[in-house]
Amino acid sequence: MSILEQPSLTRDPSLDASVDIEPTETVAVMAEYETVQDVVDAADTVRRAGYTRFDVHSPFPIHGVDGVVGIRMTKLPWIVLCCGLTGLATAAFITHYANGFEIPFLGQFGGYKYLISGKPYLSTAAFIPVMFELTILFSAFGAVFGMLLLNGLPMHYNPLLRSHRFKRVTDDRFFIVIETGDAKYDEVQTTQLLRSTKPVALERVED
Amino acid sequence: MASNHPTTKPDEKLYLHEASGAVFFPAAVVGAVGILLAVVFGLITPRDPGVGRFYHAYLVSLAFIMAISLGSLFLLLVMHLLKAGWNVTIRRILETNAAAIPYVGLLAIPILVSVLSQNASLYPWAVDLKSDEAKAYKAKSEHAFVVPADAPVAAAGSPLSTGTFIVSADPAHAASEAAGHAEGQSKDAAHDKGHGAHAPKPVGYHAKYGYKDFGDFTIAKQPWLNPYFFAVRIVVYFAIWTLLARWLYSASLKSDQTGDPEINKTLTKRAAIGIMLFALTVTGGAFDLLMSLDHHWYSTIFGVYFFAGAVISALASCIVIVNVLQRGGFLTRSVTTEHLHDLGKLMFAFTFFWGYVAFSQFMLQWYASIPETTPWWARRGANLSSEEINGSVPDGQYGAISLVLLFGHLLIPFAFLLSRHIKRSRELLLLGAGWMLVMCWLDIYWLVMPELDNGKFFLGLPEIGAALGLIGIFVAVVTRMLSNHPLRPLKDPRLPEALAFHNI
Repeated sequence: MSILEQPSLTRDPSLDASVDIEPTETVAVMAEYETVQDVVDAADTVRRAGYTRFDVHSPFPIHGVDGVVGIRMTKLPWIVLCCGLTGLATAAFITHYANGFEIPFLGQFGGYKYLISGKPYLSTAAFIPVMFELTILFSAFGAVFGMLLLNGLPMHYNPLLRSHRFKRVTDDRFFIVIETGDAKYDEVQTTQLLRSTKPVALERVED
Repeated sequence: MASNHPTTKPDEKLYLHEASGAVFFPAAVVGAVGILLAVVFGLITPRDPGVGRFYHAYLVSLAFIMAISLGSLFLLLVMHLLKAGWNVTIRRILETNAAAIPYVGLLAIPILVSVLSQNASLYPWAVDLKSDEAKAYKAKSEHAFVVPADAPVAAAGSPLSTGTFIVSADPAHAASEAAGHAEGQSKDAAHDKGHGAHAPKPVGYHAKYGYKDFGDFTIAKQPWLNPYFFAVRIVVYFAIWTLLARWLYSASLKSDQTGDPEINKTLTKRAAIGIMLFALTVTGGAFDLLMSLDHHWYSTIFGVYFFAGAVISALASCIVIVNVLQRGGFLTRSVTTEHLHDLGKLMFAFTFFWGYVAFSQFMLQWYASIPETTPWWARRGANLSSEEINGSVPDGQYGAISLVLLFGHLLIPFAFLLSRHIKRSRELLLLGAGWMLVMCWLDIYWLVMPELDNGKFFLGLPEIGAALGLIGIFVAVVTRMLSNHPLRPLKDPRLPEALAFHNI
């Protein structure tokens, strides 16, 4: 295993061998590192250089990496809160409306009062379990689907998956990927910046 | 990895020593003055309902400090059982709170005195059933549990209205009205109200105990609820809690010297036994000390209810203690925002758990509306009306306190602690913790005081004196115990994990 002092920007050679997939353009630049410390330091450098559309890939979660990459707090809690309140309001409306009101001119949609156990028609205490459950249900939906939405999932294809080198991200290597869509991206300067962080390899990601 | 995380951090004071005096002496003085107040105004010059006032007031605050100790014991047991690592830096505070339980046991002696003196001033069942008075009572109340027709029907407009019953000891009266019972529900509310207010007090009503009189239920429950067996149980509960808390505390102190990982393994094994003993004894303790105040009332979830409040008060007291220590320059590096954030998360979770349990307890009894359980709620104003219910006239204040608990113990803290920002802010979390401690005390007050004189409102010098007294003594004891040992474990194998702990 040789660590290159000045790794040059390479292309995955297997891309040439593939017949059915025609590489069209470079979508990102990928740098490979051997240790957590290296990749965290490199991410810090990249963020300080002003890049925003880049990501760190690692076989396991790295504590504190979100701060280094500059990831802001997720908006998910607010989505969950809104969904929960919607659930609460829905349940409160349905239970109270269905049990406590009779609106004659609405016909069968006007509801009918239903006496249960000699309790008042509008027995909020009896409706709380329903309100509670619907709050939880809507919150859970909001959490799961909101998470998928914010992460852009499900995503069945990612150009990174075409790189042979990148496969080691599930084993023992760490990667930084800077997208070409970044406002600061410039092939020469970006490559130079990544090279200064001492990666073991640099590679174009093509799509 | 251990070399990356030094087990001691610089610039941090880990020993309280003489500095404890700044809290110890004021707390001891407040404790002594408070106890004096409670004794003078509750016991020596008994006020309205007699010495029962003192015992009830005393029981409120005794159960409160007991809750702090037991909640801490539970958290410790769970943390050892699950081999938690994050909590090591705050563990000594929980251990000290829990290890104060034998002192709480000593403070419980007045309760035992009240029970063994068999004057029923605290627990209506604590009487000498062979006495003439008791025999006379028993004879009078043989038919005490007949539901007559003139039971006021729940006011239809009130969302919290309970089904209500009048206990009549007059079978003839009940029978004559039985025919009209079916029409009872169609009577208009105004008529019922007037009828209830002027109805003569049925036989069996007692000025001191209301309807918690002697009846078939008392006799049936006597094998369990009698003064001597009660005293034995209380002693056994406190012995088990003391054993558990001291087990964990002494092992942790030993680990300060050696750092032997075997100690942690032993602790995990002890916690497995301890958690089972804890579940049984806390349920028993809550049943005996608090639920049997009305020996007709029962709620199988009551132990869990007390336990939920206990864990909240333990977490809140831990947050308060950490803040006080850190303001004095202690534990400043070991306990970080991350640990406080986690304590806040647990407090938030248990706040909601308390609400869940409290509502479960309320809703089932509200729905079932059976005679043994509804008076308990009526005394707490759960019908939000001033009607006479089962001989008790709620003054309205307990109903207001029920609402204060609903909002102050559940809804407001839930909304407040929901935010990550608040849980990670020292000042705001401290505010939440202090608030929850007050609410936990009020919760136990709400459990105990309405049982005195059948729902009359009492909040005065005996209650405040007992609260200041017992909490003052508890704080003094905990401070003294904290000052004798390092404020966090020194060589625990999981200490590096706790020091490096970080929420994602």
